[in-house]
Amino acid sequence: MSVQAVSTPREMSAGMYRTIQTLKKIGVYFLLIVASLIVLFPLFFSFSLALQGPTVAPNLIPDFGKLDFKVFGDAFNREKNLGRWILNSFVVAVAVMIGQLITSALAAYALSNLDFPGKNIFFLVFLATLLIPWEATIIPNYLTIVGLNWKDSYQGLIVPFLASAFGIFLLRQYFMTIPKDLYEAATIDGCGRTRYLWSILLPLSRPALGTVAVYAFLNTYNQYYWPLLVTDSSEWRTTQVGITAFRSSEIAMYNLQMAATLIVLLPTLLLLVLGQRQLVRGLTEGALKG
Amino acid sequence: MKQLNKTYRLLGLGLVALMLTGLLAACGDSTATPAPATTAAAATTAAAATTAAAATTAAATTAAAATTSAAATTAAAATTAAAAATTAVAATTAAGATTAAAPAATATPLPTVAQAAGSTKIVFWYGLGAPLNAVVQQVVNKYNQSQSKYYVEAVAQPDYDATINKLNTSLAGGALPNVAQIYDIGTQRMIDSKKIVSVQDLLEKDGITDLIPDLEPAVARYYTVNGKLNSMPFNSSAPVMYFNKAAFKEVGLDPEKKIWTYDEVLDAAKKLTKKDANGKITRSGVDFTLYSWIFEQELATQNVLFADPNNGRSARATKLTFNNEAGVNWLNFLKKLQDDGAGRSLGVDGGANSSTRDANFVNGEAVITFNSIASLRGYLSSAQTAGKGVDVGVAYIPRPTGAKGGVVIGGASLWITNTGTPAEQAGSWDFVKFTAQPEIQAFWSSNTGYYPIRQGAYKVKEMQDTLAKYPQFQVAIDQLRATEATPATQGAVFGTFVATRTAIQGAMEQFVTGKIPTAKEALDKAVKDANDKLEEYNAVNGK
Repeated sequence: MSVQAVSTPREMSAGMYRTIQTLKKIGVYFLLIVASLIVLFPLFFSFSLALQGPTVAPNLIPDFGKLDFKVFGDAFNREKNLGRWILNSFVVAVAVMIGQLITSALAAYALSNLDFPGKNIFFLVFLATLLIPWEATIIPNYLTIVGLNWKDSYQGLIVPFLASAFGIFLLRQYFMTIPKDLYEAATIDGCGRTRYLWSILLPLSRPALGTVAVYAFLNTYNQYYWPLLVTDSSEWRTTQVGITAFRSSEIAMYNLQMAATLIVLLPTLLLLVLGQRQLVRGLTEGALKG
Repeated sequence: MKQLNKTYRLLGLGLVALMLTGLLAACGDSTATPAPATTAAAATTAAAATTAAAATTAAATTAAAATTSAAATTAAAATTAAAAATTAVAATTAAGATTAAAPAATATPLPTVAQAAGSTKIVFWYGLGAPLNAVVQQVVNKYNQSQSKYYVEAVAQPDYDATINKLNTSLAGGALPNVAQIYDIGTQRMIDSKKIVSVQDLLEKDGITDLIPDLEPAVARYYTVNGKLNSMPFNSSAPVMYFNKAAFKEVGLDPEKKIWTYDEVLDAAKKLTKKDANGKITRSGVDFTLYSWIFEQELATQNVLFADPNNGRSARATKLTFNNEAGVNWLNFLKKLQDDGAGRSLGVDGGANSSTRDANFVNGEAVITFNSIASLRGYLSSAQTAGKGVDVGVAYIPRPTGAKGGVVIGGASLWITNTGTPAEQAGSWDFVKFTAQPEIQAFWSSNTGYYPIRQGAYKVKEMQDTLAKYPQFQVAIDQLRATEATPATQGAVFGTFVATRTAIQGAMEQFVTGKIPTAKEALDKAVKDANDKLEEYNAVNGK
C-alpha cells in the first residue's frame, strides 16, 4: 500500500495522517508476529523437547545451559538408515506424483475432449472406484505385490498408486471449463490432438495440475500402512514407518523422537522455503491467464 | 510476506546449524573440540531469538498449541509441556549421574552381525521402540555369534499393534515371519490363526519339559491356555503403585508399607494433597489415567473373573463379565479420590494424558500413581533430572480390604509359525530356546526393566547387581510371587481384547466425568458392546 494512492482527507493534518498510518502498520505487524509465533510454535516445541535429554518431564522452555545437541547425531547413530528413509520417501512420492499427473492428464483429456462410444460409462466406472474403501483393496494389492516378488522394492511402493480416480475427475472437470473454441482455432492452424494437449491445454491447466501434484505428493509421503506392509528390511522403509523406531516403549521420552522428526522435516521444509515463490507464482499465474 | 519469508529462511538456517552441530558433537566423541562449541553457541542464539518470543504466547494459548503441534507428529506431548511449563527450570545434579540411572542402551547404535555363509535365515519380527529395540538387537547378535547354523534377522515393526496387524494381513499371502513377538492380549488371535507351533509340543519333542517349572510361575500361567504353553514368554511386566517416599515421610506415612487398601490410599491421598488459597490442587495425592490394564489387574486382585468360562483358560471365552462388583469397586474408588479432592483423573490412558501423569509424578506434583514396573527406570532417571527431590518408591497396586488375589503379567511372548521350511522351524525353535536361557534373561532384564522369565536368572551375577541397583524392583517381584494361582490371576484370553479395552476406558471416562451416574451402569454398557464384538469374533474364528 503506497501513501500516494490514498487521498488525504482535508480536515486531517499530514502529521496526524502519518501517525495513523504508523499505528496501522504496527497493528498489522503485531498480528503478523502473533500469527507467525502460533505457526512456529510446533517447531519451537519440537526443538525444546529434542534438546532436553531423556526425561519424561520436559519443560516447555528448556534450560539453555544444558542443551543436548548430541541428540541429532544420536538419531543417525541409532538408525543408520535414517537418511535412506528420507530418500525413499522422496523417490516414492515424486514418482507417484509424476505418474499420477501423466495418467490423470491423459485420461482426463480423453474424457473431456474426445468423442468415443461409452465415454460416460468409462467416466462413471472411474468415479465408482472412489467408492471402494481402500481397506477392501489392500489385501488383493498385497497379494499382487507378493506374487510379483516386489516386496522391498520401489516398484512395490510406487506402482499401485500410479493412477488415481480423484486426479482424473479433477482434471476432467477443469479441462471441460476450457472453451472448445481454443481447440477449433488451434486445429485451423494445423495443430494435432497431442500438440493441443501439450502446448495449450496443459499450460492453461496449471492450477489444477498443481493441486493434483501437491495432493498426490502429500498423500504418498504420508502413507503408513502400505509401506509397512510391503517392506520388511530396514533400508526399504519410508520415513513414516521408519521413524516409529524412535518412539519409546513403556515410558514416553520424546527427545530422540523429536530430533528424528525434525531431521525428517528438514528436506520438506527446505523445499518449501526455496520453492515457495515458484509454487505461488505458478499457481496464481495460471489462474489469471485462464 | 517478505518478512515472513525471512523468518522461514532464518529458521531453516538455524535448523541446519543445529543439526550439523549435533552431528559434529556426536562424531567428535570428545566434547572438547572447539569448532562444534562455537557453532553450538551460534545456533543457540539463533534459536533463542525466534523461540524466546514464541514461549510467551505459547503459555497463553495452550489450546492452539495442542492443535498446531500435530504437524510435529506427536501432538501428544503438547499438554504435558504446557503443564510442565509452570515449573521452574530444574537445578540438576551432575549429568554423569543422570546417564548412569537411565536405561543402559540409550545411545547404543544397532549394529548387526554379518550372516555366515550357508546358514539358514530366520526372520524375527518384534514391536519394541527405542531404547529397547537396541537391546533386542543385542540379544539377536548374541545368538548369531553363538552358532553359525542359523542366522536371525530381526525386523523392527512400529509397535505391538502393527506387528499383529501386519501378521494378520500376511496370513493371506503366506509371507509370515518365522518368529514373532506378539503382545499378551494377542494370544487368542495367534492361536486362532492356526499357523503356529506350540512351544509345549516342541519342549516335549526335545524332552526338556523340565524347563517349564523354572519359568516364572505367574508368567508361565499367563501363556498357558488349555494346559498348553503356546508361546515362549519374552518380556513381562506387571503394574505397581509408584509413590514419592519423601512426601510420605513429610506427612508421616510409612514409606516401607507394601500393601495398601483403597481406604488407606484414600486417607493417605487426603493427607498428601496440598491446595493453594483458591482451593486449586498444587500437589495431588493420586494422579491416575483411566487405564483398562489396571482395571483388569484390580479384578485379579479381588480374584474375580473377567471372562466366562474361566477367563477362557479351559475353553473359549464366550462372555465377558467385567461388569461385576470388583470392577465397580475400582471405579468407585477412583471417583471418590477425585470427588474428595485427593486425586485427579488425567483422562483415558495414552499419549498426552500418560505423559502428564509421568511428568507430574517425577516433578513431585503428584505423589502416587499407577503404572507398569517397566517404567521404573524412566521414572528414576527423570526424577533425578527434574531435581525436585522425588524419591521413587514402589508398593503393590491397592486393593479393597480383605482382597487376596494378585496381579496378571503383561508384556509379550515369542511365537513360532508353522509356515517355514523344516530347517527354518528348527532354527526358530533354537533361537527361542536361546532367548529363554537364564543368562540371556538376566541380560535382558538388567538392560530393560522387565521381569526375567526364568527363575534361574536371579542366580546370575548381572541380575543380582541389577537388583542391588534397583531395590524397588524387588517389590514388584514379591507382588508377582505373592499372587495366588487362580484362573482370575491367570488373566483373560479372548480374541477382541483391543476393542474391549477401548470400551472399558470409555466407560471409565463417562463415569468419572459424571456422564453416567453409576459405575455399574457404565460397565454394563461397556460389557454389552464388548460382548457383541466377541460374539462376532467367535462366530468367525470359533469353529
